Amino acid sequence: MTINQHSCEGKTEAELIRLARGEAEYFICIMRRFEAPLLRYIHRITSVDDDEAADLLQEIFIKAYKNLNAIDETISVSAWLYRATRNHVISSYRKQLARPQLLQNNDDEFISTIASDVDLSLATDQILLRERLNRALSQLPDKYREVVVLRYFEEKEYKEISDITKKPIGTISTLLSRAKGELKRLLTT
Amino acid sequence: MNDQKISDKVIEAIKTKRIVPTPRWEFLLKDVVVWALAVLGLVVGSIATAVVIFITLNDDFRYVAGSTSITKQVLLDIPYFWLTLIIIFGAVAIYNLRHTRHGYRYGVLLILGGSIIASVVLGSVVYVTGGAASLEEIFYQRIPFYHQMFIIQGQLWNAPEQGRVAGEVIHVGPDYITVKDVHGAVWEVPTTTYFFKPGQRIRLFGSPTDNTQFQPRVLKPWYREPAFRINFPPQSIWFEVKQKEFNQRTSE
Repeated sequence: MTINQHSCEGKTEAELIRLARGEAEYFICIMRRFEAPLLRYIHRITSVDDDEAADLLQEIFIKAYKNLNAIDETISVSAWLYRATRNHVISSYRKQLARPQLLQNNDDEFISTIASDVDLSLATDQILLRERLNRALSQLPDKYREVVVLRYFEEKEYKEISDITKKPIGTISTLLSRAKGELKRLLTT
Repeated sequence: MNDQKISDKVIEAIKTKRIVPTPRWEFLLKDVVVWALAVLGLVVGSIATAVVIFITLNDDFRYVAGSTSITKQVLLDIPYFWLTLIIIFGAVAIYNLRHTRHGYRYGVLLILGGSIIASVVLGSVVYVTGGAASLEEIFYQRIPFYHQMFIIQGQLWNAPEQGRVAGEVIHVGPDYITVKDVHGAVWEVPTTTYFFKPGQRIRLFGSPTDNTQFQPRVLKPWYREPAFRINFPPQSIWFEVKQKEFNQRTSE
């Protein structure tokens, strides 16, 4: 059976997972939907190059396929795949690698959101602000940085961040609040 | 490398390596094991809590104080064995509750608090139905290590020359009981006041009249009887066996 773009359309992720359990080709639909965001996420939490990121993602997809029957119906497929990615990256790479620069030239929207959330004046020059934010983000402890990435860069809701990191929603809320406080402190000193 | 290639490579690997999804039952089995361990931890922790409640409420400190220093007595009376069980099985319960499928959604403090409340509630139920007293007794009768703990505790308290005997009833006669103290001495104790059973731990206050006779002023079970108590069959069988053994030994 050959799966094309048409076979994937109109189907929810949960439906595609159910179909993939019986026919591996349907897993292509899931992979196509999540390749780009997961590659981006890998780049945001590691300093690997494109080839290494692709290798990592292949391993993650194969592991996810093996664990298709473990999917918890109460969490989204997206959260499940982000969790698999996070866990795989943590166990494989993160401790060995330097921190990536989170903010790039085209990240003005993120800069505005973060700056607004930490009550930082936008009067400052964007380039200067990006440099300062990058420096501050790289100084954040891992536990804060992780939730900042998921909230502001991956735009995940608290519930999804909770499902990805396997921490209670209350803890996510506290971590984000402290992360913002720490960011503000780093940006104002 | 473009995105298309990643999914193609993955599908190719799945086909060539004949990778199949792990069967659902393996994940279900893991869930069942985690839940079973969590429940086991809670149940054993609750039972241990029940025994700690029983020991704490029924250790008659009025008769303990004065025999030795308060600090020493308190340290001696702490139910270390049961507290250790609570800690070990409490940790098993909390660890496994945290590792259930949705355990991460609840904070450690919530799980810890919930487990403590559940243990105290369940433990109180076990205590008021008499289960704790019976279980403590069964442990004393059947677990050599636990039996030995009582002997050590009793030896520090037992002092016949000062009017205190700690021991075990080994025979019940019509107007006397025979008590073997924790140092191994056997005392005949005249009494018709109390109902005692062979195998029961006892405290005596009074004075020795000779090397084998002890005139009691006060006879107390080692632990007071709780308000409610269920006597399990194994316990009565044990007492019968013990009585027969003792009768056999004394008749030889």
